[in-house]
Amino acid sequence: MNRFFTALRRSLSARLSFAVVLFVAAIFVGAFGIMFSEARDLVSEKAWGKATKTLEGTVLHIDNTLRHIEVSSDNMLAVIERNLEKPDSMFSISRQVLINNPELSGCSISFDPFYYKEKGRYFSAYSYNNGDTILTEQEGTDNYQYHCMDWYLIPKLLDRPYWIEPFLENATEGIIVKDIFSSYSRPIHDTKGNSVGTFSVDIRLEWFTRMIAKAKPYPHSFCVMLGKGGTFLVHPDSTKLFYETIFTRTLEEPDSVKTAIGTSMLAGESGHKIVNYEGELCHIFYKPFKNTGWSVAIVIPESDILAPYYRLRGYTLWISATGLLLLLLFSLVTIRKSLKPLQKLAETTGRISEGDFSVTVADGPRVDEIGQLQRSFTIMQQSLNSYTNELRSETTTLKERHKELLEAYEHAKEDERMKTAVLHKMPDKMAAPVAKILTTAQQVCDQMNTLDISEATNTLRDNAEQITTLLDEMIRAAQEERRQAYEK
Amino acid sequence: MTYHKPQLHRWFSYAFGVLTFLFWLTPGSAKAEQFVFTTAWVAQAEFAGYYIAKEKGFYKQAGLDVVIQHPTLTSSTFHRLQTAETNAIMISMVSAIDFISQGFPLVNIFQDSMNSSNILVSRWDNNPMKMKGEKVAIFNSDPSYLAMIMSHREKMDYQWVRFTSNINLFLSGAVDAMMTVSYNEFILLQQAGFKMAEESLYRFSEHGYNIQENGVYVMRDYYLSHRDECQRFASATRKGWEWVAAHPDEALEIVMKYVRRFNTPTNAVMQKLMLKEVLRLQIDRDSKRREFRVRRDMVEKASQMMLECGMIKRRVTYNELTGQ
Repeated sequence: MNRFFTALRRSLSARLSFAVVLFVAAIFVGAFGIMFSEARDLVSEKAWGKATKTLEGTVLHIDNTLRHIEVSSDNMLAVIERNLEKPDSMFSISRQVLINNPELSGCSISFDPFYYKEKGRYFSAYSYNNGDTILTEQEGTDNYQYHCMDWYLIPKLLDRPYWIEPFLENATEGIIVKDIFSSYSRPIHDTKGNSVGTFSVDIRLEWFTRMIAKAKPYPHSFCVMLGKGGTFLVHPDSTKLFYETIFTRTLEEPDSVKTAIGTSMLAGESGHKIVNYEGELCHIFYKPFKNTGWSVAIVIPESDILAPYYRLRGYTLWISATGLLLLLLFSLVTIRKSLKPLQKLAETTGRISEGDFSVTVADGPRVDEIGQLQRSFTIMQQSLNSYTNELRSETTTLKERHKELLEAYEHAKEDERMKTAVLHKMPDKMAAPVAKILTTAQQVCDQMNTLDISEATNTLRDNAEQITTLLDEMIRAAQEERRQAYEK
Repeated sequence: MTYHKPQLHRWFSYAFGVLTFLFWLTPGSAKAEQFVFTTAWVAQAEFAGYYIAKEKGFYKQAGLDVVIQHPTLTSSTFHRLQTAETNAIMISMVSAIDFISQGFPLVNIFQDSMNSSNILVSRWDNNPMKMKGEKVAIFNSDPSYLAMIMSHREKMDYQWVRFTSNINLFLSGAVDAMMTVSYNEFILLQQAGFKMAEESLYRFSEHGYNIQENGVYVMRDYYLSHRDECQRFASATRKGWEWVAAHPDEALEIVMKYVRRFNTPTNAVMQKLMLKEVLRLQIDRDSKRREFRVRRDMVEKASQMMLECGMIKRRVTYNELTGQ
């Protein structure tokens, strides 16, 4: 990672490319965020509509069928009540009900104990459609005391029709029925309005299961039907079916969401809840049946509902990621190409910084800022080179002059030393001729008479010439010195 | 070789004879006597001790081939006993007292329950003691004598509605209250999401009606002629229950096997809670132990209350009930 950042720091083109990609990515995030949010809402709304429509369709279809059963039952009840005086006719009426309503599996016309004294304690005309034939019998016995059964008691005690919760008969004699079924039961009244028995028709639970199984709006969605006590009457997990309620698991592990759904469903409410079902987030849409007091729910995994959204998001993210990658590559190549002259300039600058002012700056056809920079740099480099050459020449001259000056200075010093020496020695050299002249002059004065004048004159002249010669030398040295000083 | 062969053959014959004799002497290996026992209800955790005694071979070790039967929802267990379809039945102590007083001599050979599990639950969240004259659902298979006694003594004059099973009658609102047992219907109501305030419950055990419930009964003449079998059955059953108390999870698995075999509409959670409650009810309040015995004081109390309420015409004694 450090190497990456180091490389990034060293490369302007990489930095620029990343900056561009990051900027574009930020725009993407913002734009896609809004788009995804809107898309999710739209998909959810669509799912909501689809689930609700399916649910309503299913409930309506079942309600209509159950209403049909209720109407048929009402019609037959009138027949039963008209024929109360003919108990044996109850068997044929019971059969007729099943013939007229093939969706029904059973029909009981049952009476209170000893209502027909000649029939004894039990009199219940029961017919059962096993799919092939319709069987009929008197079903009440000591081992089948129907007076204590829900389907007999509830409508009688409530004195109104009632849809009985699905149940499994455990009869061990007579017609053995192994189906789980629900009964629509209503009280039978005599002419005085007294309740004398119960008329009950049975519909197999399997019929509800089949109807409800058709409601499958999504591939992994499933339906659940709850009885009045929360029992699962329809459930894809057969181990829960009929034996478990929506609250069963909450007795061991309290689950407020599940409890709330169950309570709401049992209260006959319609609604929508989101729950975690076996580790997966699921949407539950539920609605009660009008007739039975049961409630049906469609459970749709969120992954199913949001599948189109996830697809859209997946495609978009893939395209975006690929686009950003391509943009990065494109930026890298383009910027690197654009900055190549700068790189060369950088190299040239490096060489110049090392003192190589004569390096050649590559010239290009570009007319943009980099082209201008290139040209300006070339001019600058040429000017610098020229100036450097001049400086170098002048430096050489100065060095030479300096050398000459040094030599001159050395000469001057030598001359000075010599002059000093001359001047130092000059009085000594001049002392002898001057002394000679003075001596000769004295002799002349003293020995005017005796002295050879010519000889004395020669002596004076020779010494004067010597002094003159010395003075000339001094004048020449002074002149030379002054000239040299002037030249300097 | 020809010399040794007859001797070896004879030795094997002796060995086989001895082994056969020893096998015959071993109680567990002998042909066990069949003993048919009918539970009080459909297959469920309430009878776990019996299932375990059978599955773990405790009955077999006692020399009994116990056949466990379950009644149907609408059939009477006592009818099975009368018609000799079964050797023993499980009924409540008060039912047994009633039968004995009617002239059906029953003898308790094993007592499961040490406490009353009865709870009267109001449908409309009322205090059951303020529901005078209301409709109360009671089981048809084993009428709730305690509820009747309470109604009589407290002058509640409840209207009794006999029903078969489950809680649908109660939930439909066709009755105003229902008799439940704490290990079954009470849990079913909880499982149905039915909210029960404590004020809407009448726990009989907390109001002076703590009477032992289910036990195993045989006809007196059978008891007198099969006293040893009855004792062996009781001993093996007790062993079964003690094993259940020590291994509730494993016992629950065996219970569920029976539940599935007999197609009882229930579930593991329900059975687990039931087993827990049944085991709780087996602990005697005074001794704090699982005693599996009939309490003299409870027999006398139940008999006295039933007599007072006119349910029985004569007092049934502890000795009578226990075959002494």
